[in-house]
Amino acid sequence: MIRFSELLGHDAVELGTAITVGKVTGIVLERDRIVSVELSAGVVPSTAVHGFDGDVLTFDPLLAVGSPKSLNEVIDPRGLKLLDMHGDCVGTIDDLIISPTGIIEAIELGDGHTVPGVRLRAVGNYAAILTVAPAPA
Amino acid sequence: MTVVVMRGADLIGRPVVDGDTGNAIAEIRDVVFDASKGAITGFTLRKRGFLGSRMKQVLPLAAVVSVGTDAVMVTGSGSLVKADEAPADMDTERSANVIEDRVITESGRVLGIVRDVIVLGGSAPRIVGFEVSGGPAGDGIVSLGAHTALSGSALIVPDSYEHRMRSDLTGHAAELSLPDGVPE
Repeated sequence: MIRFSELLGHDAVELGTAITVGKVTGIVLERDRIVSVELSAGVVPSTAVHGFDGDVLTFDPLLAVGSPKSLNEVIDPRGLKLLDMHGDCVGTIDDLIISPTGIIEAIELGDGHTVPGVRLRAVGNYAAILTVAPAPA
Repeated sequence: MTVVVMRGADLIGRPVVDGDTGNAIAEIRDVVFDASKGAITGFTLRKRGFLGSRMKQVLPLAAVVSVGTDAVMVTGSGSLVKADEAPADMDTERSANVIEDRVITESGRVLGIVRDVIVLGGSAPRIVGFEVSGGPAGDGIVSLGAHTALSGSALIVPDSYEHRMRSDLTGHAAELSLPDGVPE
């Protein structure tokens, strides 16, 4: 596991050539999954990333060919409001806990609470949205 | 889920958020109210930001997922429709403006002037009362009860309402027997 704040700034290294092509500058999310990683030198789809939780981000350049630059997508969700579908603010995102495969395992809030990442429905320019919480057993 | 009782004025400027994208697509400009039904039929909108201008699109009530303490939730940009394509009961030109209406008992006693509407949020938002002031009965909240009549200029309430005005939203929420009533 790695925090989003720790992932930021990691060197991005190409597998095969060992060339450092840039640093991690952000992520693009689709629900609770990272779909691409923003680098200082471009964008890498998550399918090309070998592992998210190393000391550097390693990726396969052959799988990263032609990755478009993301547009108007949130690359740093920290500080965003976290809303549920009732329209109530649950808190403010402080950090994300990311699995080795790029899944958001948990959302850390500014007040110290965490929310399961699986509840992440969308991340936009105004807020991150949670699915409705399951009813207590 | 928290069921919220709020003043209509508190809704003004509340962001309309698309739950599918997390983007704020508008702000509430005003509540559209059908006096004959005593019901909210939708919302007019303005663009987000300082001095946001009025939008040509409106938000019908049927497209609202929930009215919460921090946002009005919808799903999909198609939730907003052009004003002339809105449902028939959402006539923004003929929407009743109840603010400044006189509140009169059936016996003809003026209790005050409507200063605001009281809205019950959640997935089925509705108007549940009126904030009244300036009358001999003092400032308070009048419930929108079954015997209330409403025109474009006056709100008629039973005589008993003179002694039933609530002084605060908390009391009003309790009167509505809301299970989780937490007024703003």
